[in-house]
Amino acid sequence: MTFDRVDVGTEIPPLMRAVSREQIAAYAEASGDKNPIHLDDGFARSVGLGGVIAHGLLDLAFLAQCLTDWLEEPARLSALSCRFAAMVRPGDTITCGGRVTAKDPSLKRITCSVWATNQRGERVLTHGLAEAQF
Amino acid sequence: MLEARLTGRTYDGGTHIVSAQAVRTFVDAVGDPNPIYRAGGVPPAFACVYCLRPATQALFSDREVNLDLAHLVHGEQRYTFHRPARVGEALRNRGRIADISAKRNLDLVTFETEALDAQGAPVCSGVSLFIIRNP
Repeated sequence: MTFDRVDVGTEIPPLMRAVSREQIAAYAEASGDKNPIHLDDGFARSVGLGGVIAHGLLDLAFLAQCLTDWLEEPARLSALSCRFAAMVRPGDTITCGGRVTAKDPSLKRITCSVWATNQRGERVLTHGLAEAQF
Repeated sequence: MLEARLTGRTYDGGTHIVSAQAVRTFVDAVGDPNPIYRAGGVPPAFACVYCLRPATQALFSDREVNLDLAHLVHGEQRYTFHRPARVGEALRNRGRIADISAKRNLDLVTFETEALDAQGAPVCSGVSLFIIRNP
């Protein structure tokens, strides 16, 4: 990926990922966030969540991977933000994507609108914004 | 409801040494096969480990704030990557309650975090919004 090949409107190739209970547990270990709402169905139900949910930051990690795969140099990613708009549960399939919304040739920087949806087309990550510095 | 006077409280997340093993565990967990992360590179999303988690854990353990973790969800996250983290470096993590507000039956806590290198230069800054659903 080079700065010259990117333009306003350029689509970021989507990244699709299936989320499993095992992956959520592995993420809890790797990240240190072992809140039982991610690990224990009975507990998650008792606090009104209807079963375990994925960490929002796991969804954000998929979105980051979607961007770094496209940027090729992960170090180019200079900012990333989003809202965790809907719960992601084991068995869900998440598709991340985005589009370039601004390009600043003097700073060699681009801004992208980014998002993620589930298999029902519901947006799970919204208000997503990424910046990359070339 | 959380008291607004808690705004401004600061937390020391200690020093985190970025290890190749922790990075490998992380990329295996999230399923990112990029070879850069097997050769000293650190994925951006790993910031949750060195920039977010330790200070957030200190906040969550603060008995005076006493957040109801069973009813807490992560509402929003923002990261600014000032430069990529590197395997082997020691990063100091700290956090601050930037804002507390309430909306309907929700408490909203805005928590700012940062990770600084040995020279005190910022490597990553984070802003987390935590939402506590009051039953």
